[in-house]
Amino acid sequence: MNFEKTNGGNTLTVELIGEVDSMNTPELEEKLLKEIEGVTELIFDLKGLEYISSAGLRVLLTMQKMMKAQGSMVIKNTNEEVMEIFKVTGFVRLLNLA
Amino acid sequence: MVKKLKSRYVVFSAVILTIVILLVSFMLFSSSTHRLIENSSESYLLDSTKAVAAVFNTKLSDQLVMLESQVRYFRDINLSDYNAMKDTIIATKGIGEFKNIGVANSTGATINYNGRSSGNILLTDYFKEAMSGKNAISEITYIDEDGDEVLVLAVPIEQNGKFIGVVYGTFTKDILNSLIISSNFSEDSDSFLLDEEGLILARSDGKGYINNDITNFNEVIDLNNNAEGVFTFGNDSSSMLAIITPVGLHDWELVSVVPTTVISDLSNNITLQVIKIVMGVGAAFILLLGSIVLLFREIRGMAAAQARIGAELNVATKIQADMMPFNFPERKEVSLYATMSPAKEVGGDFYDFFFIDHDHLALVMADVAGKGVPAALFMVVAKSILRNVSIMSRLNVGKILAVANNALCENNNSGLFVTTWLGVLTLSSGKLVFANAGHEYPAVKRADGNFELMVGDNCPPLAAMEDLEFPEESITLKKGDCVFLYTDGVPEAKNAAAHRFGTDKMLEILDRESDKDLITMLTNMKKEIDDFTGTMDPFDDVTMMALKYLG
Repeated sequence: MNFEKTNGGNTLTVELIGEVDSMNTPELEEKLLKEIEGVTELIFDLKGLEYISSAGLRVLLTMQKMMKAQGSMVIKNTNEEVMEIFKVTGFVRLLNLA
Repeated sequence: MVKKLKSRYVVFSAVILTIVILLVSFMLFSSSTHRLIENSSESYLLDSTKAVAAVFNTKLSDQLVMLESQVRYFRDINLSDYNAMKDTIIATKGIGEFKNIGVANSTGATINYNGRSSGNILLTDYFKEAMSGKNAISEITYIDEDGDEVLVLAVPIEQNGKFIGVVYGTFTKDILNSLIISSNFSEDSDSFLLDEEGLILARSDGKGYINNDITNFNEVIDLNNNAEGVFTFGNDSSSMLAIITPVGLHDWELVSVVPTTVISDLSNNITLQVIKIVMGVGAAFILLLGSIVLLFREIRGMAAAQARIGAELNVATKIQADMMPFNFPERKEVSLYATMSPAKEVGGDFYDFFFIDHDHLALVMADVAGKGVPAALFMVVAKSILRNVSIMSRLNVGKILAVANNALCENNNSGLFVTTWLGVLTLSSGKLVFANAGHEYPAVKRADGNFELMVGDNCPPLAAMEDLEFPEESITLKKGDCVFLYTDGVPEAKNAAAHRFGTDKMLEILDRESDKDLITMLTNMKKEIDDFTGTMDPFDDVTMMALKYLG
């Protein structure tokens, strides 16, 4: 995963790569909570994401709830496999998919 | 408890064994060391005594050299002329440690530098020896003109290649004693100069080890054949060592006397140091052992805590398993079977089935996002809410999920959610009304077709967001139709090569097993999954439920 802050620290772009599952979500969540301070625009770039488990979805949902209070969250470049997961889990209705 | 006693016994034995080993090795060391110290001390004493003898010998030689220096006065003197001899010796001054220095001519007539005669020495051993051209030291003591017992040193006077007289000097016993004293090697020892008969010629008896009345050392120790060596004498309370060595002059011997305690004190001193070291090493070892015991206790405590946590997890797993109903309905309209294989760590999968009334069978397949005790507890809550709302409210499926969703959203601070498939089958008609809150698509087999995923427009999982609506869908089952419900543990089972089991393989196996009974079908599915994952620990719960409509 890559973290990049732009726009004077207001925009945080998080690139998720490979598989996000219960093995690596604690690290992802910890990093996000550390970086989220003062961010008004959170962008998840899922170009390189191949799989996301329910644990990963939980992180997305948590971040979405947090960003509701301090700005916006958008998910970009969702590929077919991950989109299928979002469809099955009904997350297409929860997330702001660009 | 038995283990504890056993380990205590081991530690106790180790301490005892250590002490015994230290004691035994110390005792062995002590005795061998004592012997070693004794041997090396004896050889040290012997060497020291030899050194004393050598020093004494050198001192006598020095005195002879000094006498030689007096010979020059008589090179041109006619020694037959007694008065000339007398005048010359009186004119010389004393030299060396001597009591008297005198001169004798070839007849043995003597005169010393005090102008007195020592009598005729013609027959004395030292005169004979000196007249043969050698420096001489008397073999025995003589009584001089003053009645003093003296040792006499003599050197020849040579004129024209002939020995025509001697210059002699006398040592009283006191002078000899002082020579011995100044040669002595140790404050702890006394030394004695013995002639060949064992008579004490000189002594340094500062310590008083040997009574002054004793004039012959044979009274102390039998000197026969005792030319050289270390000998013990005296009684146990005052055991002494006599170290005997030849002086290298006549058959004289030098004897050093020391109390045996000199050796035993040394030995004891060393032993004491060794005891200190042994005790230090022992203490350090016991301290080390103690630390190891403490460390092991700590580890055991940690292991116990670990075991407790493991036990708690096992309890959670047990609760989870016990929550699943297994009294499958025996109705002519349906056949139902379900299994749940929990992962190593407790997960949040659950299935449920219950009759809302005689004709309506509710089926639940759900998966809480997350693992461990929080997921298990959330599962318990979700399961009972779903069951209670379903039975009590008499609501339709979509409404049940909506009510349950809002109930689960309350106080859900940890962001958990639960994907839920809820269906209600009217047994009499075969109509299955269902709603899918973010759960895996069920696989359905219509009577003569293959299993297919029932792809629908899934809603978000329960507890993800408040006030969601859950639209219903429905199908009508015909006789022989089969519904397969499962959690993501089935398609997402992973093998060592990081490949996933997948829904295609799942459907393939379902088709293969479709004419078997449901127990066999689910058992074989599980076996296929296990074969696929191989040695990999199942990472997620594997939960499956199958329903066959019998009409």
